[in-house]
Amino acid sequence: MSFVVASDLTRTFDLSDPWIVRALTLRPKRILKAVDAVNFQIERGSTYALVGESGSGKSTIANMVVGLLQPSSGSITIDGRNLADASLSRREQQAQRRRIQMVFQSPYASLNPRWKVGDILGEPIRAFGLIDGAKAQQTRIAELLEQVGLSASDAGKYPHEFSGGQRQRISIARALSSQPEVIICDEPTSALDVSVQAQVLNLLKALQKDFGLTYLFITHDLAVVSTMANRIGVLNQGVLVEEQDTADLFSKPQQDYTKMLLSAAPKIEFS
Amino acid sequence: MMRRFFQSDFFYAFTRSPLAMVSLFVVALMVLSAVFANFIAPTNPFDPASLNLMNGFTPPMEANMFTGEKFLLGTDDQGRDLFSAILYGLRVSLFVGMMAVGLAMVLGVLLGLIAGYVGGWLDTLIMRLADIQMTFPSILIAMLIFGVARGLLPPELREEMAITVLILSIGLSEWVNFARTVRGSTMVEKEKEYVAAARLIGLNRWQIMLRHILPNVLGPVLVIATITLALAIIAEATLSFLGVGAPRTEPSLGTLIRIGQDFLFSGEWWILLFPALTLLALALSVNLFGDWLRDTLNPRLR
Amino acid sequence: MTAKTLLELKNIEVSFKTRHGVLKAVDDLSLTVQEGEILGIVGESGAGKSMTGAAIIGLIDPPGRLSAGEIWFGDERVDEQPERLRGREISMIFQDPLTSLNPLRTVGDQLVETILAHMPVSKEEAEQRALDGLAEVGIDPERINAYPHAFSGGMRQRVVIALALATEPKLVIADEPTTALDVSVQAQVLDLLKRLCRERGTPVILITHDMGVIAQSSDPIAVMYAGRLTEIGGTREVLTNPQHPYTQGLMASTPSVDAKSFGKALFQIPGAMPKLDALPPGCAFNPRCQHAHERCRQERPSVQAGRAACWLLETEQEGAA
Repeated sequence: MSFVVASDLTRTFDLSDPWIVRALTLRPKRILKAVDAVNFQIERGSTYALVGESGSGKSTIANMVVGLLQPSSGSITIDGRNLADASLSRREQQAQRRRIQMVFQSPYASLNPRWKVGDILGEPIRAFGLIDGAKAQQTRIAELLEQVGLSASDAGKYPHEFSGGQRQRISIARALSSQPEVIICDEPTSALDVSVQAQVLNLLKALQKDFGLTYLFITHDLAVVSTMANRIGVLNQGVLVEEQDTADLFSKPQQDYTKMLLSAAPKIEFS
Repeated sequence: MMRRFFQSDFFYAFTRSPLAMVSLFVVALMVLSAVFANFIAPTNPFDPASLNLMNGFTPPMEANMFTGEKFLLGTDDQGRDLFSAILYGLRVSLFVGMMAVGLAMVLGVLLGLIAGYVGGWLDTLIMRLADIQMTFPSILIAMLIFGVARGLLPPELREEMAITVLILSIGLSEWVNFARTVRGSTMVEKEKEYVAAARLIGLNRWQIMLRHILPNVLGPVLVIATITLALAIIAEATLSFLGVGAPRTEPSLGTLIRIGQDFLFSGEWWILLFPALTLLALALSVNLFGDWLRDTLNPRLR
Repeated sequence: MTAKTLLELKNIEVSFKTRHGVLKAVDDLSLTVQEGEILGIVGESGAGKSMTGAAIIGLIDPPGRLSAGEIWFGDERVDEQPERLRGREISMIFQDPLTSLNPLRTVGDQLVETILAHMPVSKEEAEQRALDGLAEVGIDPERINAYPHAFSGGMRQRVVIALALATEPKLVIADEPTTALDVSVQAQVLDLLKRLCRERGTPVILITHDMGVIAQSSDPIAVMYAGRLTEIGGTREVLTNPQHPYTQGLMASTPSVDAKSFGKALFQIPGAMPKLDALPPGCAFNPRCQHAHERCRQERPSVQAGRAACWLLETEQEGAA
């Protein structure tokens, strides 16, 4: 059953000059179509990867899927429900929000530097009303930290006391704290070193298995994609040019753009 | 938590800078003197019953020719002990200065947060207001607000409310610096992913602004507050000197300077000199400390 | 193998004095660069690779300094005054093309200024060289009067390469030159760099954290960890048959573009690179190494068999002997 469905997802940005300037210089409006009628479906419990270079629209799609940005047209539904539906009550909106969370690219900007780790993890729990009582919340926070390979005592520390890889783990723990069903991973390891990347990717895989999570994985790195994703969508300047299961994409790429990406990826192999 | 502070790089830098330590010491000394003025001052110069007109115009440390009393810094025309007057005057100056800065800070930070986070026409409105206000010297703005407020008040209240109106006028003239800086920092923080994460759990604007963004934009605010304090103290002194500030019955250092000026050329130099020196020392120390703070905190902010 | 040694680093050390003590960003590093080769220095963040590049060209800011060792360029010792060679004999390419170029001046101006600063030529000749330089890196010479913001990231980096080569240096240091670029552009820029350096016989020191880039663009390579050299050798040899456990771990944890790897966990080296103020005694890698023994924990290994700084190699050598 398709759990996450994107239908004709489109997003445009108005980059025009202010109207006064346009009126005086008679220039036309400039509209950027960042995402152009993209369609994809993600099965429950699987990982779908969106691959593309900068300007391909992959981050814009991620923001729309998670609800940070409204689509200009088209829709995103999760389990049949659309977060952008204006008729939803505040309660229904929160319930929908809880089901889908995000892990961001920058380990440095994704955690509030003035908040303790315990508070960062506790905030979603309180916002969604998942657990009552400070004691029970502390227990849950400790549990989350351990699930991502950190220790319960880390709850009292500040983000700057941790390395990049550890901060990404905290980010993942925060995403998990709302007990979501879908997690969007927006370039979660692009800013990390190779050995740390391996740890974080392994963690994500293990969590998916343990909790039956569905991932939308955004990246520009084909090597990462090959180890993480069941199915891959290739984006070029807002258009989904090719979509295949992982094995097929690597062995039988159909589009020139895909072939170009595959050949340009730096590989460690010697003839 | 205090232990963390004393171990921090900031405190380390502080102990390495003689300038910082001396200026903070002077400020602390003055604040304490002002707070405990009741206990330190030999007399209460504003209790009419304790005054003896015959004590007037006594030079410092000299025995008065009529009463034989000695005063550390001399007396003014009405026989008030200048040392006590300065201590009480410090109290008024510091009180007005700090309250005005407090007002400017709260107003400026709030407006800056809103302008930076909400953006759009609200941002434009607030920033244009700031621009308009910046075209006038803050003293003029303070005088304007002072004049309007006084005009609105019934005559009986004017004297009583003088201090409050003074605080209001100086505070309202200094918010722009805070607002502009906070707006800039807010616009930077707004783009960071932790704000996006907060939106993902359904927090509303105010919750995000106050709980998440505010703690991260307060850094430069402390520096601006210190420097604005020096400005506020001088502004208050100026207004009082011009006669539109603290009244004679509750004088600040500025008022004392105005009184002293009348007598400078008739030879009673001490009535002007000592309040002026005190004001100088206070404003200078606050300024120097603020400058040091700004330089020290700056690279760490990045 | 009569290639001339152009640059030699002898036991160099770059240290920083902080309130926590003296930290060594680069510790007892020795390596050489031969003419015509592209030496790749690879390592993770904090390994000291950028510091090494900065030390060679004299760009270390206080409180850091080159506190020990010698740097030889050709037949001269230059560590006392590396600034002399900067720009003329040794030039550098940085990571971010956006900030490497002055946004307020045209590309042509920057090229001409660089040429005039270091070479005894007339203005006309400098302008001609600038035009030639742009053509060489594949940019239309007509664009010589354009400003940096008019170019894309990849094109800007080409301009930076043109700038670096304009003074006909004897050595080019490239610090993460393609990290900020898209994959497709990355390949083009690397190819350009390789080609130009091969044509002129100019050696390059290529500093990066990307194993793929290193594998495709450099030979030999040096692997750094916590400020120390851990392995050095021919690229193919080191990457297909790594001797140092750290290199082995790095290779094993690097994902490859391979459909068969889906669903399997990647190899991961436990722990993390130690911070400079918390280095373990002995070999810096020993807490994370599955082969570590007592000697590793006590004595810092020197480079064995000219290949890797690991006591395991010594044991093998002795075993073989």
